[in-house]
Amino acid sequence: MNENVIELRDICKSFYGVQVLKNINLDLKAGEALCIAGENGSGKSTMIKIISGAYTYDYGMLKINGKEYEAITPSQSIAEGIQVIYQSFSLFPNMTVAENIGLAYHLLQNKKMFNRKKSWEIAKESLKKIGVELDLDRLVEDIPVAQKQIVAIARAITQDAKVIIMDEPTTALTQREINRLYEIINKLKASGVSIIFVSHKLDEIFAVCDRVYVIRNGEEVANFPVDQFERGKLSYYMTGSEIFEEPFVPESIGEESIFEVKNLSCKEYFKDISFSINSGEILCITGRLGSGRTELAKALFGVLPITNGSVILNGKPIEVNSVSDAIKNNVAYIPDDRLSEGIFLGASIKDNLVAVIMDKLKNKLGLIDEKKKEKPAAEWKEKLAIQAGLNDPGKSLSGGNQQRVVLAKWLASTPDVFVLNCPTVGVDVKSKSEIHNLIREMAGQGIAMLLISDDIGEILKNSNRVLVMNEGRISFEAETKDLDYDSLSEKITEVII
Amino acid sequence: MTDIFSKIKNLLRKRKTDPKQFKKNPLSERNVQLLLAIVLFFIIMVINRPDTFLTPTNLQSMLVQIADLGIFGMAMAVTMIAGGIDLSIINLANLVAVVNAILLKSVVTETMSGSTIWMLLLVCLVISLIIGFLGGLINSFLIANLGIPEILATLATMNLYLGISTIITKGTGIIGFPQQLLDIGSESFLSIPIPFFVFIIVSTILYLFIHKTPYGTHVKLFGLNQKATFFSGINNKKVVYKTHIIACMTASVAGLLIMARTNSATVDYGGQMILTTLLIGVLSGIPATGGAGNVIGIFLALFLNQLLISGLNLLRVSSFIREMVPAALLITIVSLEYYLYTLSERRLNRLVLKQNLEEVKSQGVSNE
Amino acid sequence: MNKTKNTAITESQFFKTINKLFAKNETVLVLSIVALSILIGSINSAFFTVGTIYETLLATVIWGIVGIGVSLVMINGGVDLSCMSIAMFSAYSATKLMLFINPDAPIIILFLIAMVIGAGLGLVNALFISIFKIPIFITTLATGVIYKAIMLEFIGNIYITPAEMPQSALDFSRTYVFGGLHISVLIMFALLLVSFILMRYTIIGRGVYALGGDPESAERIGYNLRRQKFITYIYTGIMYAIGGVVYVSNSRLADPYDMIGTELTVIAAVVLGGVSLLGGKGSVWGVLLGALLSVIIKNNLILIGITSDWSNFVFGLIFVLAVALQAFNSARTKKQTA
Repeated sequence: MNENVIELRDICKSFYGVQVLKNINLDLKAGEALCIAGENGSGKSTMIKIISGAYTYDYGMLKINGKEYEAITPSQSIAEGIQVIYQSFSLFPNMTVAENIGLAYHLLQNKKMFNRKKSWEIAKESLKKIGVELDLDRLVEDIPVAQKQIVAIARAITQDAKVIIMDEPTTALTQREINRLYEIINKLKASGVSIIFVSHKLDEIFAVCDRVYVIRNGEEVANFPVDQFERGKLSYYMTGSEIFEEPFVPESIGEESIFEVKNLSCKEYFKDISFSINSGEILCITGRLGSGRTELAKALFGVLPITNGSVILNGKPIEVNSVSDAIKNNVAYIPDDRLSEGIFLGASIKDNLVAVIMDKLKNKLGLIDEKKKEKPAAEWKEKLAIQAGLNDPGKSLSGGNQQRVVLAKWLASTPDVFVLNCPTVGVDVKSKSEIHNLIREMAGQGIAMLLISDDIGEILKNSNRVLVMNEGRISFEAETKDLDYDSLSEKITEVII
Repeated sequence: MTDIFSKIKNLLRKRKTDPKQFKKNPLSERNVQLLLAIVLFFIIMVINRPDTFLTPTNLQSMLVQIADLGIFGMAMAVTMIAGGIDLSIINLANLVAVVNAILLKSVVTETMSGSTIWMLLLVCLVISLIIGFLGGLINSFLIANLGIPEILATLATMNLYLGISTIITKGTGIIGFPQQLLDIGSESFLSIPIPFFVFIIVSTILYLFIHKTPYGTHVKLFGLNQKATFFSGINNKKVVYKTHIIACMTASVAGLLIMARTNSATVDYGGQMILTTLLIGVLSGIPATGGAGNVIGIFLALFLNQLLISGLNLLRVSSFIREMVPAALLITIVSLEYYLYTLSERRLNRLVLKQNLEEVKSQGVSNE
Repeated sequence: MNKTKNTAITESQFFKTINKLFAKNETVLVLSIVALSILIGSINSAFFTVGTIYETLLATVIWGIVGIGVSLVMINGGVDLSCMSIAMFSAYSATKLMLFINPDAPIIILFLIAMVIGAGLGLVNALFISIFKIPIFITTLATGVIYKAIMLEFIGNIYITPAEMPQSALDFSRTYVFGGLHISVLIMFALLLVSFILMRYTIIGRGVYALGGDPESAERIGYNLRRQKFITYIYTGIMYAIGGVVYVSNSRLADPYDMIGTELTVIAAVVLGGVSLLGGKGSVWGVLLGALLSVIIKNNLILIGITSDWSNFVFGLIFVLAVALQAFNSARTKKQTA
């Protein structure tokens, strides 16, 4: 039982002349939970895709269950028991839970007929194995994300999984759901299934993993059993620099409040929120998923209705009942879901950049020509160092560059208030630090900065004050200079009864 | 020194395999492809039928037909760029024609002076635009406010407008309009048929809307991603309203033109044309889901389509085959594009694979 | 105490099932049909005669059979605008062929020939969709026109008169069962049943839904997308062909210009029947209901005094109401699960 299920030896892989993986060596045993940690662009997704057969490696050796594969195909990988659960889960939203789980089973067994009763039984059994009970007849599109994930795991089991690979599985889960996931993973481990957990969140790594493998710039930088791994060193391994998470100290804080919120409430999402941001400050609002932090951000941008309380900008109360209200009042919002809410993948960078300010560009007749668009677009492209041509489509950009485009789009509208919702998710290290610099710069220029984030390192480095939300209310307030990683983390995860 | 050289080598190597460079192939631009096809076929026609092709009669007839289909094509294209569709435009045009026909029939007398009739025709234009506006309003309301999918909403209004026309006319066509109107349909100015001028005017206005206004950029972004437009402060409902109102008002102009050219207003003129307008839209390069499109492309597509139809007519190709010209054109160009695209992709992949192996080998050596 | 608790539970279960039932488009449809029928019947009792019912069913046949194919493609995620072209092409060519080879052959031969042709035309669609990756809407838009052109040019453009039609077809048109119900209605029900079983209980049938729900996931769990598409389009081509033959036989006339142009009417009926334009949802029974509703509206308004002039308008109005109701219903169920 100590045989390696997966072995990687000196794996190398390049794309378009850029080497993405250099000499990767890895062993995975049966029943072991391995965490692959790394920043975006570190190569961890490429590793996964090579194991699952989506990519072929250029050089090295891949052994699965003792068999050597020079160029494994996805179906071979599945046959060897390797199941990848992507962040999108690959489920059929238009079919029921039972059908989703059962269909995969039928396909694996190469059956011609679809036995509905058998599907039901298989689904039930599979869910039982991981200790969960779900309504099998509900359509997958109607169930919450956490349940979708469970269905995906259950389906993986029916396909006789020996290795289940989960890509950032806890991004959209609440703490309760995360704990349930840990239980499921432990059950799987006990039954001999190996888990590869792609994540960079410390708590998760220490909660379920046996071994940590850190990758940076395509190379292995750490490969230890969890008990030998120094907690505080993860950030160092992933980014390569000793970051003492220096808290952000504003150069000067203005006397007057630029942006103030009094007793703000919105239905059941949040109640009685009050805070004030002065010039030079960056306020961060954090909390677990479901604490109301995202809803608060959206309400300030006019997406969700405010049922009580007031919003005050530069001393005057303002209405933000709609997005156009918010924009009229110079409030900008960077959404957390960049791909579907922030950037236009099929449009040119130029069109992306001028999307918000189009109306301001027109002349007396109401007309605009391409030249009018080019000037501001080129200007902002320069300012934010966006690595692309003005006419390149949004989809050709890296995550970091895309996020810069989204930022530039809003900067072009010269906002007074900037609300950023998890601005560096899925962004490479370099872009991340540059975006952080930008945020601090904007604060210095007198824009009221409101940062929503759950990345503790980011919070400490980029805000001078932090508010923790819990169940829709503010549960904790402090200046970041009085906090450290652990104390802030504790305040976020504490459960208030 | 060697450092600089290797840097330059890397830069050059990167350029060769940089995927963005590859896509700059001008042949991948739809407008260029259409233009080439037009030139090609023009030359073929001039060679094969110089005496019948280059005659004023033939050229004028081509321009009239382009105008006939083209105004509807432009109207449909606007909705396609927004990622939607408007199936009701032709029936709306017929409704406009019917309403105007009744008006003219009941008001015009033998003794009316020319200038009065022109005033009347101007009134007709205004009425047409109002009806077009209302039609667009209704369509947009169903789509934006009631949330009905575009294809269904306009399918419904298509029947609705047809129904209203039928009720008004009791199914029979109305004929016999003032000479002034018929002149617009049959006369030429500087040897160019007036309907074509109307088409040019309409196209120019639409060109301004799509390429020179904030709306134009908004509608393209809307066609791409409605969530992102929402979060960028673009009023999605307004975009839908503007789109369908523009399209329907354009179609209403076509309604008047139909009366001018055919001296009749019927409930079912041009029923099959609706599919052709869709074909023209896709031919011009508008993606199936919207988000891009240009008026020049639509113009070229219309031109190519008509060139082939008229040309094949002169070459004595049967009318049945001629009817499938836009469809065949579309399938050909789209298939060809796909084939060329995969060819270039394969070439790129081969190059990249070679590159990767070289890189790895050189890296492997340096590591040791 | 216990008693009230139990009734409370069963009450909420009752509402749950009612809610679930209403969420289904088919339920709303059945109710609409029943309501409309009662309305028409109460104004003009001639509606409720067996004869009218049989006639209505007969009128539904072409839409129902062709609708099966259209709904399959729609569930698969696309719109098939070539349905009528394939139907008429197959039927017309088959009739001509049979007249040429053996005019006295049994009707089944006519069906078989048409089915082969229909399968072939569906195959061509599949080729363009699968290999050249052209979106379904565009492909079928083009092939619909192309098939019609080829038929008129190479097979013939003159309609086949009743006197010329094969005898077996004429006999078919006069075949009734159950005291007045035409046999083609039974054929329609049979096809609906077969299609339903295939869609629900076979892996390939499930694959149609899978592809419509999420093609990438379908591929990931092992579906061969190319094979799925080919099978789907060949099957629907066969459906169209059968519909075409039934139609020309019943009309005792094979006019190649007929029916082509009514694609949007079929699509309207299918969508009315609850098949979602976005793909992945719907059932063939919905097709029957949608077709039935369309036919009742179009054909029977005259019984309550609405002249043919008004029928288009009324149909448009009812269609608006129906799709508005559908949109409202789906928005409501979305809110409930949020």
